[in-house]
Amino acid sequence: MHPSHRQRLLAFLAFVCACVVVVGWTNQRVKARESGSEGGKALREQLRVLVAQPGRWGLTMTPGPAQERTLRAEWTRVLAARVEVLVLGQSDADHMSSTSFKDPSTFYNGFLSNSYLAYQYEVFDEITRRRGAPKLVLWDVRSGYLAQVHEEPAWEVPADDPVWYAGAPFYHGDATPPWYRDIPSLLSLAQTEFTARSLLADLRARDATIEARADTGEPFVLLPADRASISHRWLSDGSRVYPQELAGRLVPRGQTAPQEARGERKLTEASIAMLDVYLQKMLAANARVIVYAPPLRADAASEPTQQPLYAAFDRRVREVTDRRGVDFCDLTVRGAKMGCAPGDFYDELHLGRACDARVLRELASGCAPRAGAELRARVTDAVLASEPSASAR
Amino acid sequence: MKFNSLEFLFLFMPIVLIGFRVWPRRRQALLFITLASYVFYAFAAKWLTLLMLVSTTVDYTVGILLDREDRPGRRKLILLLSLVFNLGLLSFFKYFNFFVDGVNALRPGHPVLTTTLRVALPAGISFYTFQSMGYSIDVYRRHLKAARSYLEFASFVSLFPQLIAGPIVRPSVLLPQLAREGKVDDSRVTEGLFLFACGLAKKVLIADRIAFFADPILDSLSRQTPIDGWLAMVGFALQIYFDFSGYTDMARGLARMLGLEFTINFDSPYHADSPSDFWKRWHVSLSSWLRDYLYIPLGGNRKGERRTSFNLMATMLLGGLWHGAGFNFIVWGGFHGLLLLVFHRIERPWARLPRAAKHLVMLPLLVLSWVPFRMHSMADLAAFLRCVRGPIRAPAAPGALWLYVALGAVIVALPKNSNAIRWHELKWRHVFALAAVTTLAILHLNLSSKFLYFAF
Repeated sequence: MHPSHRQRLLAFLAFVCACVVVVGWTNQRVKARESGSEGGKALREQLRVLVAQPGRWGLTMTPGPAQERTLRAEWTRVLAARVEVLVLGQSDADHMSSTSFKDPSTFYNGFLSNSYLAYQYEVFDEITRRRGAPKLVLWDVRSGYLAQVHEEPAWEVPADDPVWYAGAPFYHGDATPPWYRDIPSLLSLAQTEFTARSLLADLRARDATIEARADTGEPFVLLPADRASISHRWLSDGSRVYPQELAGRLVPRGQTAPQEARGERKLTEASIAMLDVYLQKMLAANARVIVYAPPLRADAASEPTQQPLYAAFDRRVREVTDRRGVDFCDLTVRGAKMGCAPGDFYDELHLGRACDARVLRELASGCAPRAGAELRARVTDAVLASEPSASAR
Repeated sequence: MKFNSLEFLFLFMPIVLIGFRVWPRRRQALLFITLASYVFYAFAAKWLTLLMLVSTTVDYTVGILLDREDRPGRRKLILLLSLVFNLGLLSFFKYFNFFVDGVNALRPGHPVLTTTLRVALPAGISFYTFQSMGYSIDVYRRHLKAARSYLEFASFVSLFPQLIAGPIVRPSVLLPQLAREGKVDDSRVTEGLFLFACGLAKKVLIADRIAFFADPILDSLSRQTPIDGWLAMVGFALQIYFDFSGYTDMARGLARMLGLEFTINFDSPYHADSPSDFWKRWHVSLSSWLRDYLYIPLGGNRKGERRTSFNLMATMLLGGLWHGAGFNFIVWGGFHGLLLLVFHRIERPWARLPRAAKHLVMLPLLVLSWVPFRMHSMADLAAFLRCVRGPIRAPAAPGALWLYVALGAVIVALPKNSNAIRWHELKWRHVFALAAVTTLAILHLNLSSKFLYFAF
């Protein structure tokens, strides 16, 4: 054999294997550090400041489960008071605000953008374990989410396990082979990016004072809540504000047509089954639950191709909630009737605070006959009297 | 199991390659590789692996019987048995649902066939039935001696690098290689690994990236601008090339690491200057199979102009149907048949045109030909046509799609393709560049999808 063949072969294999091993090893180290007692220290500190001074700060965020799941786990540790009303759901639940409640301090919005029912339930579970079960849970389960084709992760690994850092340990759409459950995520692009970000942050010298931070789009930076920002931010009640949003006034992102509500979509039965399982667990913890589907922007709600999905969604979720004796309020196509104008939406899915107040009004005024009265006793009079927005009138 | 998965790259492939090399005798190595191939197939097809075993046994027996039999009538009967079995298998698994749905669609709301049976398509069935059917025909024509060893024949049918999506390797090419004694030259292992890495990069870093940005556009055509519609379709033309030729490179690379040589399946198809040239460069193993086992037996071009046209069209329509049970594939085959017929008529004036002019005509025609292939139903096809006939507006496709399409187009335009590269003579800088690209591809694996041709 010509020696150079072997040299080339070995050099190639050594380079690839070394790179993969270095990336994997570094990922593991960073994940272990971030999930350990030393990890996330700065983040916990910022969360304490955020929670201790309601209304003063907004914590910048990068939407997505990679960071949000662990952040919620940290957050439930530093909550200021017992949570009595808890909102769960994906990003479309993000504007449910404590300002709609008589006692804002007992409200917490635990939404997780683009995440799974399992992780939403996990927020409930963590709060219950630390501070007792919330009295009332408002659970946002929109039709589009339950029509996604993806595997719901089994909820069995604690949120502070290193395996979760920078992405769930499974392929999108494919079950992970059992013999190396965390390797695919270990060697994923998300993990590599997470590692690179963490290492860069280590290298960069940071000013310790919160006020000195610039609004650069970097995640986990506390910025004054009374100023518009280029970033998404969490507020002290767990809700979110969008870029450029100020005092509840959205700057819609300029989406002209529905993007998600298109094509032929079918309900994912596995997700319906998971919803049933988690509802049972919540009821077993003595929480009252209102399941609701928020309104979609008018063009998405009236999209002809989606009507079969909306109907199937309403029927199947109602079967589950009726079986469990839980309220289900499907507002998917009722946005216009409720007074939510297109300007109340950030895009086709995401509604702003004004429209969310009307959602609360609907839930408290007959749409949820079982637990609606309890909600009615907690929301402000302004919510119950909320009128259609000017453009919807 | 996909070639572009961690379990294949870090478990299956190393175990098989090392195992193949440690067996001292060829026979043991073949047994090992055959068992490994069945394990590989079982990941995709589960109990349907037995179907491949039955198919292998039937065609092996047919080969032996054909070899022993001299009476023409009996030989024809034996061949017929093989054809009926293989085509029956293919028809049932691939076209049963299509047939039932098609018949029921004739009277909407009043189904004629009320069966609840839905047949799942076993992975790779189109490839391995064509491969073993080709064997029976070759033995019948006495172009090939029947395989004496069941093991050799079983490994020929099931060989994992080409099992799921080809190339359809002829028995006359592969069986002698499988029977040959001797160790695999290490330079072949190097070449094979580099070719495999090149295929992996094509699939993961180009085809999948283009699909990531083009698919949302092609799945929501009613809201897209004509420019975006065409851009996404050009993206699909590049995606399917990089996807399938990437798979072929990986298959050929794996074969080379096992000391085998597969036929070339792609030869810069978008450099083609006529439809017939395209079919000499695109999925060559299938087009040559259809030529030798369908077009020529039908009479080829030997029976006059009208019969030649019929033969061409029939071959292309069946070639389209081979890809999938759907009217869109028949339209795709018919479109290519039509192109072949038209270009056959204008062959002489066409030959006198400058090469650049030919490409200017061919490339748009080829992109157009992918429209029915990509659109999964006639309704989708109509949506595409409505989209591209719509009013011209500013495109809204993501910049990344333009970038990936440009990158793909530049690579496609390169004069050398992966067949022409002398992989064992790469310079150091090229070795490290390939290693870096391979690493990047591995780090992208969890974003990677199945190969498009796995569906056929």
